[in-house]
Amino acid sequence: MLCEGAFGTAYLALDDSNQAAVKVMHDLSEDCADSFDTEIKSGQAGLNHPNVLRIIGAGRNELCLDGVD
Amino acid sequence: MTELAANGELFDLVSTADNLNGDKMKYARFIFKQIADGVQHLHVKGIAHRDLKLDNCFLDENMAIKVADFGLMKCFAGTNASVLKTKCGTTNYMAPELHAGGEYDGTSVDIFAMGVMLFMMLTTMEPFHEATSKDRWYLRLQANA
Repeated sequence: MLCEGAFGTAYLALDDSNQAAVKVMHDLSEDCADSFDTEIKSGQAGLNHPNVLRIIGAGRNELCLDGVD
Repeated sequence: MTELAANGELFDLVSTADNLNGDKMKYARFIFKQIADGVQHLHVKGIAHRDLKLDNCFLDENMAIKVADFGLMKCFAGTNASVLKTKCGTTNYMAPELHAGGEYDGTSVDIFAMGVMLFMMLTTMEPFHEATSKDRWYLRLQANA
């Protein structure tokens, strides 16, 4: 686990060559869902800059995080 | 899922900035330029962030700044053009026109928030609690401007 915020928890994710951060929302209220949708849009807005955090992907699923720490 | 910013929030770095001694100015300049570059990119793409703050700027493994948290961003140009009216942000970073209500320029309120961030980087203190005439620290800053 990287950190815990008001709306979600961020986890460190690893694959063979890359590291990424995965933010899991635990607040499913409407405000939070709106904010999530807006954030996803930023990933589609053509943002590409070394000083802007790159959004790799997003999805809306009930996740099972057993064993994640 | 986002790219990883391994060195965490800029807020945490600034909170401990007293340890940087004489290098604080150098650090602030190095970091602030990157924030300005990132925010300029958003503005060129027609996006106002609207919640810029130290907690929303992250540092990667090379201490490069990553502006993040686009939950309140708004497109103000192009096909999604709109006049911004929604009052939002984090109180002590909010420009006076946001406190006043009504329409505002999304790029201007981002630049105001950047000014607050720069002040905090250099002093490790908030310049004021809110940019309104109720706040004596804000009034004092205005008087000295």
